[in-house]
This record gives sequence, structure tokens and C-alpha cells, in this order.
Amino acid sequence: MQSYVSIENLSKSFGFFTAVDDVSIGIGKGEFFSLLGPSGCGKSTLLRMIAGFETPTSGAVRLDGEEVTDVPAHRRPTNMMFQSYALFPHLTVGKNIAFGLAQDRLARAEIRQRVSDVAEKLQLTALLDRKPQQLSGGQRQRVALARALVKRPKVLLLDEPLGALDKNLRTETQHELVRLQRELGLTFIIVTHDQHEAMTVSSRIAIMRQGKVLQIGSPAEVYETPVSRYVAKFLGEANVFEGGATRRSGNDLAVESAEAGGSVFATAADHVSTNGRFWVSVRPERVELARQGDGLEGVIEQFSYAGSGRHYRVRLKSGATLDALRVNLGAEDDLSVGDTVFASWMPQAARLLAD
Amino acid sequence: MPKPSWFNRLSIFAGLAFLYLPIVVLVVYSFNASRLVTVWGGFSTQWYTAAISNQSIVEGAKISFLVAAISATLATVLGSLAAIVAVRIRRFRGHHVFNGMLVAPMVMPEVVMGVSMLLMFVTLGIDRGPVTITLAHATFTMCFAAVVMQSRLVELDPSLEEAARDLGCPPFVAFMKVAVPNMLPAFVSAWLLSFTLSLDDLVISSFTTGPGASTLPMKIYSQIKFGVTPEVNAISTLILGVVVFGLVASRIVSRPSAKSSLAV
Repeated sequence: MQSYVSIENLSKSFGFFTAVDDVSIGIGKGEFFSLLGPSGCGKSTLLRMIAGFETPTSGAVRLDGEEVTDVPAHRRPTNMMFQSYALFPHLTVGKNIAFGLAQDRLARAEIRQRVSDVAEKLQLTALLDRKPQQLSGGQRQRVALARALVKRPKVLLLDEPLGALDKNLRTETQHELVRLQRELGLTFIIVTHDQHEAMTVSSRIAIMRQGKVLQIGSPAEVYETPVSRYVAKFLGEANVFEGGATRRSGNDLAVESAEAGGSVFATAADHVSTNGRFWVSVRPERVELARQGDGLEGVIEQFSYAGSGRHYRVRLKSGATLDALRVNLGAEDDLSVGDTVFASWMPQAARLLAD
Repeated sequence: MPKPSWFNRLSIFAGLAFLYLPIVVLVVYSFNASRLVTVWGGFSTQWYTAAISNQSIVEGAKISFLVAAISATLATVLGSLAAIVAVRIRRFRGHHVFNGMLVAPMVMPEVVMGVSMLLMFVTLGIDRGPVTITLAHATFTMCFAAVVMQSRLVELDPSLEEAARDLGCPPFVAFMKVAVPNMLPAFVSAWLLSFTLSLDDLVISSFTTGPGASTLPMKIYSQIKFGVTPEVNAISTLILGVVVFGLVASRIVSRPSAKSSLAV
């Protein structure tokens, strides 16, 4: 498949520090693609190379089939929304939005038309004469978005666009972004360190660490089938136990785990060899806790009430901890700190990890 | 906030009196009708009239203002360029030395600067006069201008220019369209500061002047040699007014910029 944005063996070093290390990603037209990773993983540098603010040390960037690796930022068909929004403080909202169009020397009538269209789309019409200092955080975010969108870029780049917003506004804005992206049919590439945000908005996610891409896939793929313990733990929570001797019955595996202090179950559908070192990973929401029955025995050490769910931390007999999450369905809580419980899960709830 | 104790109040009062009482006395006596400087003879503005009709004083003032305006302009341009290098390019070879050298003239003894500049002008065979004073003033006020510009540039979000480039401006156009308008208050502030510093300089002017080119402070100083006259008080009060205006204006101009940079 021909990618719309294609990043080919891209590397960037600053002195001895390699910020981006031989990264290759293909992004399709109309995708909402996330670069996800902790701070310092190189995701922003990668985005800045796509925008043209950083020159790659090696590798190439192609946009819509055209090589743009050496094209300066001002001649690339990309627009960026900056983390700080970078609104021009000396210009009104309207002039901020019109800035790029005026730079392209479009006719005045067309500029006015396009500014008012995008302002309407983002509910900025009433604010066009204000200065950026007079706006709230959410309004500024929308102005920054409008200013980038109004140029109708082939690719919109968003660098931590929601980092400065409070949680409720963030969630709302995430949905708004997805709606806009669908409506306009544009290709969005977003940089974020918030895994929840990446999962909510993206069609696909690239998980980065120390300049390398660890995994690329849809939110469900990377959540359900992480390639490593790091990815499993970075995307949500995961209980991970090192596996040992394995018995198989059909597609189900019973794995002896010294770390967990007993047998744990997993499904054999993963193509992970159980000969070398491997791990079993299970998400807290898939763990069932019961007062009696089969499973790993342990004592509830911590409990926290998180509204939508109840979170338990169980100290297993082996000394390891296990997290379990019970969705709050309104039932009475029958477990409390100090209780002895047995933890179990369905084999298909757990995955095997080779790294 | 706790209320200041009587000791606090007293020390503030004593400190302010120490700093400003001589100036108050100067201003008050500039309105003295008496010819004797220390004897109050009633209110009068006659010394102001005398001062502004004194040909020599007016001549000195003209030179001073001209020198201050031109040297402040030079200092602001050069200081801005230095500040841009120091803030934007930052990590070049020898940037520590560069930053140090940029601010060193602030603490360099004026006498040393004066002598060195005199020597340079003599060596180069440049006739001393208003031009050499202007050059010398531009040199010693440049560091102040650079510091003012530097503090503004540090506050200026570098992604502003990147945003402009992203929207289609080549780098230089982005700088002119986005960075320069946002540095405007700092330009004005740096210019006013340089202007004020140049206006009241005596030492460096004395070293770098030539025949027939006496600035206002030099004129005042030479008059003092024959005793303090109320006329000197009047001129000094006028200079004080200009300096206070310059400082206040420079603060007012630079204040909104601080606010907007916070908002960004």
C-alpha cells in the first residue's frame, strides 16, 4: 500500500544523543495517527522533522509521494498546532487565523471567507476581534487549531495539543478533534504522552521509547496484543509474571510461574515460544477475585475507590503483587483490606510476551 | 501580610530620605528667589528663565540631546543584535566569554573606559568632538540595551517564529513579522534607558570630548567650580525631569509586554 505520509529510516542525532533512531512509519490518507511515548522518547523530534523544523541526520520523509526531507518548513504542505499554541500576541484572533492565508497572498475576499468558515466551525466567530491574552485556555486551543486548519494542509501535526487543558475540557476536545478530522477528511498526526488520549482519538498508534518505535497498531491491537512488557505496562495497567514449565490442553496453556506462586492461564494463540524466557500478562479488569475457589491465593493489601471501578491490590503468597479492577455496577462491595482472596482469569484474558 | 513595625517604617523613611532628600533640596532651591543658594528668599522661576536664556547652557543641552538620541539608537541596534546572538544561538563556541563581555562594561570603571576610548581615538587620529562622544556613549550604553533586549527575548516563545514559518514565512520574514513586533516595547525601553544614561554622563564625555563640544553635565560641572548658583539647580531639575520621564516611560512601555508574555 502506498502511504500518504511515509517516514523512511529516519534518524536524528544531537551530538552524541540519538533522539530518533531509524524510524519507519507509513501513515494512510485520512488517518488519525498518534505518536505515543514518555517525554524524551523522540516523538516531538519526529513530528518536528515531518514539519520541517529539524533536519534529519539520515532517512527520508515523503508526503503524498513527494520527497520533502530537505524542503524547509515554510514550503511544506503541513501545518502544526504547537503545544504552547504559539498564538501571535500582537495580532487579534482574526489576524492570527488569517496569517497563513495572507502570507500566501490570497485575495482578501477569499481570506475573509475562509477565516469566517473556520471560525464558525470552531465557535470562534464572536472572538475574532479579541487578542489572544483575552482568551481562556480552551479558546486559545481552538484558535491555534483554526489557524492551522485554515490553510487546508495535507497533514495536520498536533504537538501535545491538549496538554494545557483540564480533564473535562480535554475529553470534550478529544471528541471534537475526532469529529473535525472525520468531517474534513484530513490526515492528523498527534504527539502525546497520554495513553488514554491516544487510544481515544487515534486510528493507529505508534508507541515510542528511546527514539525507537516499539509497536504500531490500532488502539485495540496495541492494547490487546502488546509486543512487550513495556508496551503492556505503558498502555494501561498489566500484571506480568514470568512463566516457567507449561502444560497445554487444546489452545489453553497452564503456565507454572514461580513469581506468581502457582499456575496461571493463558491462551496459546500468541506466537510466542514457551521455550525461552517469556511472561504472562493480564489486565487488572480481567482478573476475578473470589473468597474461595481456584486461583492464586493472596491478601488484599490496598483498596481504592475510583468511582467507575474499585481497585484492589493483592499481595500474593509468592510475595508478588497483583492488581485487580472490578467495574462498579452498583453492587455492594464484599471485599475489604485484609481479606484472603483467590485471583483467577480466563485463559484468553492473558497474553504471552517474549520481551 | 503582617503590618510593618515602627522600626520597619523608620528604616524605610531613613533610607528614602538618604536617597532623595538631596534631590528634594535641589528641586526646592531651584525655585528660590534669592541669589544665595542656601538662603530661602521666596518662590520664583527666574532661574529657569535665566537658564534657558543662557546661550552656553542651551548649546550644551543641544549637544547632549543630540548625542543621547544618536548614541541610544546605535546602542539599541547593536545591543539587540548582541542579545539575539546570546539568546537564540546560545551554544556557540565561547558563548560564556561573549555573555561576560557583553555585560562587563556595566561594572567597568568609567575612568578606565574613558581613558581607553580617548587613547583609541588619539591613536586612530580621529578629531574629538560630538562624534567621538556619541561613539563612546553608544559603546557604554550598549550593554544596558543588550540586557534589556535579552530579558525580553528570553521570555519570547521561540515557537512563535516557528509558527510563522509553519504558516508560510521564510525565517527572516517570520522574525520581522512576529519577533520584532513583540520586541517593540523592549526596543523602546532599551532606547530610553540608553538615552537617559547618555544624557547624564560626565566622566566618559569629559574624556572623549574636544574643543567646543561640551555636553550639559560638563557645562554644569564647570559652572560649579565657580560656586553653586540657583541657575545650576534649575538646570539640574530640568534634567531630572527628563530622566524621570525617560525611566517612567520605559517602565510603562515594558509592562504590557510582561503581561502578554505571561499570557502566552
